[in-house]
Parts: sequence; structure tokens; C-alpha cells
Amino acid sequence: MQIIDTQTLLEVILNILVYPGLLFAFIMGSLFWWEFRKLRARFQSRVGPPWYQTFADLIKLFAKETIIPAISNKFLFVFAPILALASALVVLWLLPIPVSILPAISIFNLSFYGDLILVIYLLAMIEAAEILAGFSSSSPYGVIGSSRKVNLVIAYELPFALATIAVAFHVSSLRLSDIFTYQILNGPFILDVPTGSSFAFLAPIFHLITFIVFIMCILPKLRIKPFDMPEAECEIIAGPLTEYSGRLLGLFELTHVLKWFIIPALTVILFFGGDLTIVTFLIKCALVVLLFTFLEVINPRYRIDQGYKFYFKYILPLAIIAFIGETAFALGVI
Amino acid sequence: MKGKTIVEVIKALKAPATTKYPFVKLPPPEKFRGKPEFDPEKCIGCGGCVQLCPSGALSLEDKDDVRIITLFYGKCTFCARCEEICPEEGIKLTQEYELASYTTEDEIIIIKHELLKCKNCGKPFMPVAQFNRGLERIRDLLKDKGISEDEIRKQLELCPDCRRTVKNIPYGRKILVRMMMHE
Amino acid sequence: MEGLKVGRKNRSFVVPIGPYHPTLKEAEYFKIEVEGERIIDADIKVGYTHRGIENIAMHRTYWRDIFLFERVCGICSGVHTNTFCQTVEELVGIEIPERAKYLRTILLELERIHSHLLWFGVGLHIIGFDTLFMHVWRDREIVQDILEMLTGNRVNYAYNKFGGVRRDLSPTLAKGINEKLDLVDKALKTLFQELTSDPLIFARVKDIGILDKNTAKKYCVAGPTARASSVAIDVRKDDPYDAYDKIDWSVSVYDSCDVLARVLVRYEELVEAVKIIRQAIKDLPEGPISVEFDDFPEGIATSRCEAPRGELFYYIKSNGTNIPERVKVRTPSYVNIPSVKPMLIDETIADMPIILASVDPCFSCTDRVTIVDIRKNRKYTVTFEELEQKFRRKR
Repeated sequence: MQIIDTQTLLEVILNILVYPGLLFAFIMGSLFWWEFRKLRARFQSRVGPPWYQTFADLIKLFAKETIIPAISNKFLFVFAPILALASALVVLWLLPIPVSILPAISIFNLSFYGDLILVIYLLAMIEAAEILAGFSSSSPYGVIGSSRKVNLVIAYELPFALATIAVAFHVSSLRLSDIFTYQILNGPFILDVPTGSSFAFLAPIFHLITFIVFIMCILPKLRIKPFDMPEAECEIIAGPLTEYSGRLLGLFELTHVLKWFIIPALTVILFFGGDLTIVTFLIKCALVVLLFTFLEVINPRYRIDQGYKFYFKYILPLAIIAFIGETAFALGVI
Repeated sequence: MKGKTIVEVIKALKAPATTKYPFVKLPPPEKFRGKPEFDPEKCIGCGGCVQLCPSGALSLEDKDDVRIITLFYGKCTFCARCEEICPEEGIKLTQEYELASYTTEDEIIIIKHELLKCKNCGKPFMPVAQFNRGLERIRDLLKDKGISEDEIRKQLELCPDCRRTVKNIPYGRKILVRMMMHE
Repeated sequence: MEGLKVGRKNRSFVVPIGPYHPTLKEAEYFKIEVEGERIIDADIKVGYTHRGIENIAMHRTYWRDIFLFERVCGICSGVHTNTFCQTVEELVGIEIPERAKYLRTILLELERIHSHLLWFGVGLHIIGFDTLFMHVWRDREIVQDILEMLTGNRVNYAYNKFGGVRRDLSPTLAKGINEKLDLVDKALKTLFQELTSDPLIFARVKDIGILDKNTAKKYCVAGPTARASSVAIDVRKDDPYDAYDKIDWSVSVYDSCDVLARVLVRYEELVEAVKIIRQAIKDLPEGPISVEFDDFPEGIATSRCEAPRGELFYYIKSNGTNIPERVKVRTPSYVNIPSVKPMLIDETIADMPIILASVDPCFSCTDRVTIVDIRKNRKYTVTFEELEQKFRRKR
């Protein structure tokens, strides 16, 4: 196994910035976002945008005038998108991604022990940056959008953490690259049946519950219905990002593009892993995006209190059940 | 729970509901109200369409001895009133709806008619085409009443002012009595 | 736009919805005072789309005014011309032929279908269900195709004239319309199944925006808004015009008084409309499609029709010439929009767009303008005459 520590500094920097780092993630994120928009359009009997739409949107945004409202807190207003982008970049560089085109065990990773906790924390930090953006802009739409986002984040971050840690408990490690290599050796997590247990048949059910909880909790991060109420354009124009324009909005949208790569990649790494080539990895990511599109297309938008209740009534109990089940299997209790 | 929605969503994947206009054009149905067009052979320049146009897209100007009827597509509402009222099918609504252009001149259509000059005072008063068409319509009637074309022309080729002069009224009355007489 | 203004006493602040807002199809101003997510007060100001149509109508002849009133509203343009022609026919004292009555009925019901399908799409978009929005509007295109075949255009039909209609319905066209109506029937059934099989939609519209019967009567609401609050008024049954008294159909009334009731009332009207059109095509009598008349006598005439949004009322005062002296239009949205205020109090701001959309506002009729004088820091409402004088003096 090629371990990254023996590579030269130049190669590491090239990996971070080009492949599979920033440039690659940016391009793949744009293409996944395009896949989402195109499939959504086709499900709705429309044609949909061409493949270069996301690139065109970002180029346009960076060429437009940036307006900072006079009544806003100017420092926080400018700081929020930078915070979001920085968090997204760090998460990106922590993900273990198989880099070779032919099957070979060669993964890019800078991960260290405990980086799963850091990933959960930084993904929440991106949302916190958007909340900060809404409050600092001090427009009524931004404030309402941010307060809705606070409600939502409180509701879904706990089940998200529980589901992610449940996977880590199964693998008995909090390091992303360990999760990845475990699945190379034992097959994807979601089909993993522990040996030497009389309740082994229950394991896939717990894995499925964990997966469902995980999916439900990352839908708000990608602004997918039924959980996109902070960005509900029909009521509050654009939610926390209403007052943003030009380059600052471009930074937020760039973060969103990176999220569209990070989150499918994280889903595949945690649940569908066992990849030896970048090609199969990307195909699995594309299938995850297809699942997200399907969930978006068949649902309307929840109201914020209904969404909050949904998470606490249904998802949190499921998360607790999944967590207990996974730890029970992992500790060998059953 | 959402069975029907899921079925409909997957059925919609077959083809989008839109066509790739302008590369694929959809023909409008029959009797679609597109842009109006003059037929220069049939238009007699009577100006009936101008009177009726609700938005003022059609306008009329008598300049020297020429009658100019202008149609400006920018104001046209495609209501087909001009087509309804025209006695000669001189203006008809086609099926074309793509009227955008870069210059205003493309949107202005002009039709010109030569005006007939009064034999007495020389003032132009009626388009030649209208006069000839009018004569054509009453040709059979004249034949029935035994009025020759020269006789009626002597009366009709005067402008309305000259027809009502003291000198002309007796002649006019004679022609009128002959036309209204029953056999 | 106002910034964040926090009230001292009750921690409320003002959210301005409009004049430019993605949820409004036209510009109107709703000043909503909220406390958290709960609405405690609402102020509605209309007047942003005032175009002076009644004034223009007073300077043009009657025939030209038909095409002017067609353009008061894009969605309900057919019913505006219908009411105007009916009023003038009442003024002149003529009766249109039977065939014309049936043809006008067919056009009005087609317009009702397309207007309600448009409303369904807009309402679904507001609760976030973009998929059904696109599907409903895709099926609405069938109705637009029928209208194009019948009248020559998808909007602004130019179909009515004083004394009857301008185009006839041939048997081949009738067969074509019936075939397309089968597709519309199928689409309506699918829509109903999709709506009722989704608990999320019910969660967004059930028990929201209550307007009880007495408040509805006090605000004099009209159309589906009233019928959803168990006020059973419908001009087509109370004061029949065209061929509505010869066709067998029923009025739908619900009594749950919330947004869900308005949705169901409009859905039933859709189904009834398809039934009416099929019956009218089958029973179409032979004969001429218009009558002629000579002059416009002096006098006053009024008439009303059931637009897709409620009762539409026209008043014409004639002084014997061919230019009307005064035309007054009272559209149903003018009485429906103020009734949004009691519906909004004590609801959350997340429900505000769907409540507003449930009365199907068509902001096409106004007559007042508010002037906000920033220098002198006061607001006052003026009539059109004062506005005219004020700006004439400036020039």
C-alpha cells in the first residue's frame, strides 16, 4: 500500500490542489450538481441545463458587482463565506479517495486519528457560516432564514453524528482511511455481516437504518427537498444568502459545489466503499446523486416546525436504535 | 404512500414536454391569428381597416395624389378586425408569429394607392382601385337600367364637393332617378 | 427596503413582502409584522399595477374597448370581454342567438379550466412541490391548444363581439376538442391521486388560513374563496347568463373554511367544467352566431359573470354616442385580497404565501395609490384625481 508520508512535498501539494484535491473536486462537484439539476428537470418533463451550467454560473458570479449592505456587520458579512470555504476545503483534504485509474490500492489521504470527528464538526461549521451570513446581513429575510437554519441544524446534527459514529464503532476506528481500508478488505459496509454472531442476520437491518438516518440528515446540507426551508425562495427570497451578490455569493456557491463532491464522496466512503479505482468511486457517487434527485423530486417542502418535529419524532429514535445496535455488534455483545 | 407521484415522475423521463425551438418549429393550428398582410392586387385602399383598428396599428395618409396606408406591427394586437371588415380580402392574417427584428423599419408595411383626381377641380379624392372595383360591382346593375358607363363616369368622377354644386345637381338627380326606377 | 426594526414592547419586526418578491406574480405590498414566526398584523396596499384602463375606455369607441378590456387580465381575459359584451347587449336591448350562447359558455369554461390549472401549479410551487407544478402546467398546455384551435390565440381570444361571437365551431373541431378533453380528464384524475396520496401536502394546507363564514360574509368575498367557507354563491346559478341554465351542472361548496377547502372547491370546478363543455358541444343548436344592431342608446346598464376568481361586475353609462361616458369594472380580486388579512393573523410566516395564493389574487384592478414622503416622513393615500393634479403641476 502506498502511504502518502513518503511522497515529496511537491507531490502532496499537487495532490491537494489538482488531483484529487481542489481542481478535481471542483470539476466533479460541478458535474454532480449538473447531474442533479438535469435529472430533476427530466423528471419534471423539462429539458434542463447543459453540462457547463455550473461553471457558467460561477464565472458570472465572480464577474458581478459585490454589494455589501450599509446596515450589515461588514466584518462578519465578508468573513462568513471565507469561513465556509475554508471548512469545506479542510474536509475535502481529509477524505480518502482512491486515485488510480487501474485497480490498485492507492489512496490519497491526509487523515489522522480522530479526523471523523473533525469532518462532522467542519460540515456543521459550513452551515454555521451560512447562519452567520444571514444574521450579519440584518435584513428581515436573512434573519428569518438564519433562524430557520438554526432550528434545522439543532434537529439534524445529533442524528447525523450518531449515524456516522455508528459506522466508526463498527469498524472500531475513528479514522477515515481505516474505514476505507476496512471496506476494501471486507466489502461495503452496508452489506457487512459480522462473523461469529448468532444475530448476524440483524446486522444488515441496522446498517440499513444507519444509512437511512444518514441520508435524511444530509439532505438539508445540500438544500434538497423536503428540507430546504432555509432557502425557501417563495417566502424569504434566498434565506441567509439574500443580501449576498457578486464575489461573496460566488464564494458561497463555490462552497456548495465542493459540498456536492464531498457529501456523495463521504456517503460512498462510509457506506458503499471497497473501491480500488477512481472510476468505480465516481460511478457510485453518481448513483448516490441519483438517489438524492429522486428524493427531491417526489417531495414538497416541509414547514420549519414540521421538519423539526419530523427529526425529533422519527429520525432521532432511529438513530439511537441504529447506534445501540451497531455498538452492540461491535462490542461483541450479540 | 406516493405511488402515483413516483410512477408519473418516471413516466416523465421518456421525453421532455418542450421542443427545441427555434431549431424545431411547431406549426400553429389552422386559422391561427398571425401577422396581417396586404394583398396588393385586391386591396382597394378604402380605409375601412384603418377606421376599425382598435390599437391604431393601421393609419392612413393622403399625400399629394397618393394614399399611403401604413401598418405598424409594433401596435398590432392581431385581433383580425381588419380582416373581418375588408370587403375585398385585401388584408389577411397569416400564420406567421415570428416578428422580432433589430430595426423598426422592418415592422412597418406600407401600401400605396394612386388617387383619382376630380375632373372638375383636380382634387384627388378616391383611390383608383376603389373606383374601378366599385364600377365593377355595379356593372350588371347599370346594364339592367340601361345606363352607359360614360354617363355614370361623368357623375362619379367628380369629388364630393363638385357633385353637390348647383351646376351638377340636376344631372346627378337624373342619373339617380334612372337607377331607382323599377321596370 | 427596511432593515431589521425591532419593536421595543413586543420584540416584533416587520417583514416586507413586496412590491418585488418572488412569491408575488405582480407587484403588491404586504407589510407583515411578525414575532418570531407568528404573524401578528398585516397591512395590504394595492395600486402598483394601476394602468388607467377605465380612463382609456372613456376615450375610445365601444368596439375598440372590447379589445382594451380583454387586456385587463391575462388569465381571465375571456370573461372580461364576455361581461362587457353582455352589458352592452343589455344597454342596446338585444338578445344573442342560442348558438352564440353555447359557444360563449364553451369558451368561458375552457378559460376556467386553464385558470384553475394555472392556480394549482402556482400553489404547488409555493409549497415547494416543483415536480407537480411542472406536470400540471404541462397538462395545461392541452387546454391552451384547444383554445388556440377554437379562437386563434392562446390568450386574448378576441372571440366575443356585440351580438354574439366571431368564429364558429365546425364538427371536426368539436371532435378534436372532445379528444383533447379526454386527455384533460386523465390529467385531472392523476392530479387528484397525486394530491391525496401525499401527507406532506395535507400538512401544508390543512387547517391553515381559516376564514369562517361570518367573516367571509362581512368581507363580501366572492368565488371559490366564498364557496370554501360555506357561502354558497355562484353567479352562474343565482343569475344565469349564456347557456348555464340549460346545462346540467352543480355548484361545489365546502365548509372547512381552510386552504384545503379552496383547493378542493377548485378541483371540483375543474371536473364540472369538463362536463359542461362536453354537454355544450353535444347540445350545440344550429343557427347564426351573431346579430346586428344599429345604435347605442342613452342609459345605464350593468351585468355580471362568474370569473374563475369570483363575481365580475361591469357598469356602463352611455350618453347616446358611440363612446361610453363611464365604464366601471369591479373584479373579484378586489374583494378577495382584503380578506387575506383575517386569514393571516396568528399564522406563521411560512404559511403566508400559500394563504395569499389560496384566494387566487389577480392584482389587475386598483384605484388607489399611496405616497410615501420621505422628506416630510409621512404616508398618505390619494385618489387618482389628486395624483393627476399633483403631477400636472410639477410639469
